[in-house]
Amino acid sequence: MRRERMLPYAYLSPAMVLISVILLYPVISGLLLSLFNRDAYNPSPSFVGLKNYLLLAKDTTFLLSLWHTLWWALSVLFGQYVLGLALALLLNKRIRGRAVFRAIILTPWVIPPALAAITWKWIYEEQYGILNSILMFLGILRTRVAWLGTDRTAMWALIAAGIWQGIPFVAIVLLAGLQAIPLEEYEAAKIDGANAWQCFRFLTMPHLTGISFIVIILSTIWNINQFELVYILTRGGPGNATQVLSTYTYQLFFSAFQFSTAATVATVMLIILMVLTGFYIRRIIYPR
Amino acid sequence: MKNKRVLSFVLGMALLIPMAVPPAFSAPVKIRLFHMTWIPGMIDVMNAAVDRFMKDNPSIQIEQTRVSWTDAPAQLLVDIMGGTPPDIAEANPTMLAQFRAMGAYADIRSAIPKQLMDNLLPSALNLIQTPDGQIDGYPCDGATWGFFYRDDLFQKAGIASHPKTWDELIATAKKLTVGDQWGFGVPTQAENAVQFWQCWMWQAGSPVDKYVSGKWVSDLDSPEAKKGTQFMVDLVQKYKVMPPTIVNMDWEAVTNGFAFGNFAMQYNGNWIIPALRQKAPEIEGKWSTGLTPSAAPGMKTATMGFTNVFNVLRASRNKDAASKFMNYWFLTVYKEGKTFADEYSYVPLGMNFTRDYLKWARAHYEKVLQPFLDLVEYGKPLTMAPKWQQFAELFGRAAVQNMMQGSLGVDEGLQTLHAQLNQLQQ
Repeated sequence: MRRERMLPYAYLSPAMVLISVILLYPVISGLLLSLFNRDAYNPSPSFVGLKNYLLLAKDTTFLLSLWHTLWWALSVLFGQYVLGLALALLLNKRIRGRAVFRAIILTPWVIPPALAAITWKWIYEEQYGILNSILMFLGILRTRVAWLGTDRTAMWALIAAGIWQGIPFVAIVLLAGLQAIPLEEYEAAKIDGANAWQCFRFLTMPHLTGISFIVIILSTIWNINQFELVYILTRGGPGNATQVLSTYTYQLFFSAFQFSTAATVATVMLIILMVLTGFYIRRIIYPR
Repeated sequence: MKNKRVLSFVLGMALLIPMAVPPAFSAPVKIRLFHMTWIPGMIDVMNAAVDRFMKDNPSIQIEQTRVSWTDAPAQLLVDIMGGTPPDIAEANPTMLAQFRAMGAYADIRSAIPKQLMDNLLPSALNLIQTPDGQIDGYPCDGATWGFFYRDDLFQKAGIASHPKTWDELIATAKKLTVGDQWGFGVPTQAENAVQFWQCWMWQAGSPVDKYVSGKWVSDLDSPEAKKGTQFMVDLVQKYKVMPPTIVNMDWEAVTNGFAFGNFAMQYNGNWIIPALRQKAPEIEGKWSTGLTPSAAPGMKTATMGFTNVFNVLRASRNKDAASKFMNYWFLTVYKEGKTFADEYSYVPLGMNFTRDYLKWARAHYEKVLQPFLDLVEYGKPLTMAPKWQQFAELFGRAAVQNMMQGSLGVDEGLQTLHAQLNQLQQ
């Protein structure tokens, strides 16, 4: 009996050992690194405790990056959810070629992020980019805009690219949720005189609450972790107008060689993501 | 029976002897060469040098690792910290300063031949010599940064001569700023922002960062630094001869702009010439080059002008083999009387910072390249302070771009940067 109870753990143990080595070891190393003052020029780093965290609280670039990260993550999430839901509702209808459309909308998600970022860089290019050409042709713009070159437009340009990239995941997951809604409920509602908006508000959205929560949490985690898009498009510039936590961590470690400070920023990101992950896990274990 | 015993003995020895011989005597020495060569002709020269060296030295094998300039510092750092350092690594002055401060390079005074040392230009020698007298690198291909002019646009605007001073630059650029055409462009995206910012401050007479009594001290609070910074900002904000969006343009974007008539003048490196010719062959003969202007009549100009360096790493287990390859690279004639190092510099129309090469280049380089040879005299390497790159990445780049876009005042910007640089360097 006891042996039978231990058996699942035995089966899981190789995977747990692998995960511990690949995931836990770097995380713990990073945490420990954040408690020292290690950089490329200091041959004898010493333990400084939480001093790096206190310094970070006064680091204006860190605070700006944190703000940008939250702004970026929430804006992209909002766009992804609204447009993803709209797409899911459309794809839930019985239209000809529905299967083909469902495959096509996955395209932004399957393109490698770096390749997508390079493509968007060309789309936004001031002189030769297709976006300026189209908008000037339609008469919406009279002069070309450097979408990535000014602090007023750079973040919005990034947000648009981020939304494009994440819509497919949201759409496909919400579509699965829509298809799980019993049709009889809509029929009953129509019999009771409900219009389309009322059906959407009182039937569709309540059914989608659970799955929406999962989508929102996962998308937020991925958006906060986003690096390629920001780094390739703007590298955090112009100025620090699009600097986010992931690019700031990279800059600190690989350009400024400030290893402990980079680890500190990464740890702060980890804490934010763990809080979100906690919500996700709680939802999975205790579904309403 | 006796023959069988003899045969058994011989066979046994034939099997045992190779096992008893230490591996060092049977396997070739392997060295890894880490470099950032990206121009196709230069890659051919490097491959030819490696192949010929290995043929002439069969006991030494060379493995090449080629990375982009952008990724190079991070990749080299990862290699060193990961315990798999290359034996030879290329570096620009910024990387040289950073990795030198980390103690990454070996002292190669005893390995570098006298004939090479005697031939080096003073600027190259200053670069590879550490403050305590060690020699830690071999200078390789170099470049200088100068001005490019669209003579067809100058003619259209009725301008007969190229600007020689800042005042003339402003006046000329204003006349050339018409419609979609800007008078002037200089790369200001990413690391370019701080690099060219230094040039303006040098031209104004500031050393930017000084080595005084054994430590580096910021000069960013000097009137000269302010003059240079203000001039750079005014090109965008006051005189409006450069677009504010220049902060998002790297060397290629500015070159494209120059090629297609969006910039009538540009400030860039001589190595863009092959790319310019490839992008816009139709403007061949319609553009020329010149020295960078001086801040005022009678003042000397200044610009970036430096050589990249090949270093043998301290962690290399095959320093002798690595030095042997580098000496072969510099002293072996490849073709038309030029060594591998000479040809490597010649392909991108750059400079090998030796007296012999400068003499040869003056006699053989075309007219558009002559100003860049003249600029060797005025060329400076990027600041060699160990913490400069850290300062540039964390504070300098954003501040310079913000000043150019008008969201940060010059006085406030310089005051903050001066304090930040000194704090990093203390």
